Amino acid sequence: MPAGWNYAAALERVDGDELLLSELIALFFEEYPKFAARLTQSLSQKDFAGLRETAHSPKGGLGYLGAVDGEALALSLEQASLSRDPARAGELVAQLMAYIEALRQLMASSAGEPADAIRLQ
Amino acid sequence: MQFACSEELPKPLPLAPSDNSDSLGRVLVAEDDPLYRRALQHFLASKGYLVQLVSDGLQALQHALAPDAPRLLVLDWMMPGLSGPEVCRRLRAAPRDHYQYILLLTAKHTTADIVEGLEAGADDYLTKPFNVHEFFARMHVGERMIKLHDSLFAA
Repeated sequence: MPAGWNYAAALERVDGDELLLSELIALFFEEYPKFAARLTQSLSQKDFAGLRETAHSPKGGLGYLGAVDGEALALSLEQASLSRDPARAGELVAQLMAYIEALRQLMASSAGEPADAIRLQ
Repeated sequence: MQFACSEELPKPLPLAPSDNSDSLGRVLVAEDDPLYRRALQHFLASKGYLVQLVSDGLQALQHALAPDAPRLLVLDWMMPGLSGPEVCRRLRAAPRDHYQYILLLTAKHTTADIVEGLEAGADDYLTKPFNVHEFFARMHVGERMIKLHDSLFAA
């Protein structure tokens, strides 16, 4: 899944402070390895409560950063965890992790570009 | 229809915290998401607030119950330890000298969620992801409410 990123929405949320937005993006990706490890572990142990709790964690950050597709995936994962559906949860974990990796590349390649140069999905 | 107007109108309440030593210039923020925690710290500090940051519900309750606790509380809904609504319930059940205004941050936005949050004792809620201007507008509502409460209490 290609990563969509609404940079303009993210920038508006931080009142146009590009430095703060960069810091928040860096913070999100600093936290990501811990999140990914917890996600993988919860899935392998069929710990649905842990999976739901873990999926909740990046949902807010993705939404705040304007990555609405990722936010929707994390929400779907929360819901799949509630319904204790391992197959669906497994699909969503893979999709979410692939999404975040694609988002990392998109954000890195967009660094330093003017806001209107970043194309959305 | 015309209403009689009192000659002594109450003075308007100031909207912004006067200085950092004022209890209204301090805010307790309880948020487990590092990204939101940093953003809130940045926004509040940029407006001159002193920010107490905690990352779970138990710490939030402990700080909120302290004798010199901030009057403005910003609580995330889903936190380790205690949820935001549970912090609200316990805080409201405790005897307090001063009213504390609670703004609940939540990704939840159904009517049932909002009802639950407000019934737990929150004064207001803000849905994530929020706009910084809306956040401060709601903080200013909280400041007005506290000042109004204090002025009524002192009368």
